[in-house]
Amino acid sequence: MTRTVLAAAIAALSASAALADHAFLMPSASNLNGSQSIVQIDAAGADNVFQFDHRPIPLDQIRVWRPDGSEGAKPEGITSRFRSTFDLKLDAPGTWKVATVAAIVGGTAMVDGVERRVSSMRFGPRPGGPPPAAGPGEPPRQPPILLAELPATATDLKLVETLTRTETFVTVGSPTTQAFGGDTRGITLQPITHPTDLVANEPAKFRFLIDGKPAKVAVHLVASGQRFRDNEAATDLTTGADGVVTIRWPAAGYYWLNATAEDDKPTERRASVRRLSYAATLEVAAP
Amino acid sequence: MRLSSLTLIGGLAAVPATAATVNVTIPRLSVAEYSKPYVAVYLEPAAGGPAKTVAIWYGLGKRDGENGTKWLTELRAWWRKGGRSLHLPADGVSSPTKAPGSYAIPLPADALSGGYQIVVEAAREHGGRELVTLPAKVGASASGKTELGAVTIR
Repeated sequence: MTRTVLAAAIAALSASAALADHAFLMPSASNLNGSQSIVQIDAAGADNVFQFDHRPIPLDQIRVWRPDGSEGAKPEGITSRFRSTFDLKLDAPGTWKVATVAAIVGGTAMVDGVERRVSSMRFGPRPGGPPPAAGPGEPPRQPPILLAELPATATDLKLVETLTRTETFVTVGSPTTQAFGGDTRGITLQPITHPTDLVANEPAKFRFLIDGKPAKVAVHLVASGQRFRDNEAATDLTTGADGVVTIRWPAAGYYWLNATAEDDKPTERRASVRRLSYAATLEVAAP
Repeated sequence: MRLSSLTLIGGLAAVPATAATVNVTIPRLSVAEYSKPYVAVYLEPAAGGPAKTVAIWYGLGKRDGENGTKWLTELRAWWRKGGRSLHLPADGVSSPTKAPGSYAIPLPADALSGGYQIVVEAAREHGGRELVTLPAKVGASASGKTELGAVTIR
């Protein structure tokens, strides 16, 4: 796919909210006991769910919520080529939440008669080194224009606001729900079945909210171990208008749950579409 | 009575003098690295609801700052069905792990009233985990295949 076509595809605002990679936060355990528990969190974006094959999630984008709903200390750890890793000291009983929320505006615009990519984020150096040179005959690729520096004279704005939330939950002792509140932007999960209390032979129910209100979202469920299958083998479900989805687990294991929705309520006034994505790492126990 | 209902709220089964016992066998295993298993014996209400713990054998007395409770999550069915809300150690219920052999555990008076099934769960470090379920009536028996031997109610 040439870059122009790719840019056009992004700008076409296709219904598919598929994102570049599968961001996930993977805890070393979901249920622990005792006042001295430590859980280790791996944070990465991957081509294949739960594999470390693409990029780390920077530690400064990760926030921790304590069981009482207050924000915990900033994670301190290391960031390496494919993942960030940090230890979380669980010094209070109940359910802890680890989350990242990223809001990005991107797309294309015509600037002085040339189609340019636009992004609200200034990209740092690529983790894998500089991109390969453009192919023979292709014009050199222009870097994206920062949205804040987009001239007022720019035309044909095709901008999409993307709000991506990535979470996981860890429980010490009995599960609690105070950590589920807080920032309500985009899609959030409200437990009906608690996400650290999942068993393969019992259906789970979750309610999804958009900006804090129950809303219909598409739910995409991928089990770990894609490397050992021929395809993603995902389960696709849709919530009712009340935002509730019932999941029957195919087997015990780790699952990447991705809820997506699209609306026309971006907070950036120059964007026309808002794409919402929510991802959670869930551990489903054997009965 | 008052004491009894208090203990039931805590998810523990009050054990008065009673005739009924559940006999649990821990098999002797021929393995290179053996640790005595954690074992939970509990009553699961047939109509659903929290389980009542009859016995829990774990690392009680271990000097780890947690009194041996850290790995109780390995008894994952018991943990989820009520173990995680108990305050341990609990008198008459908590016990250190036990060596291979057969043990008679007294059952509470209402255990055989028909409202429960009896569950025995065992998990062993560097070993497996096994769950044995049997109806709560005198003469019932079942047997585990790996971590548990015969379980009978007398």
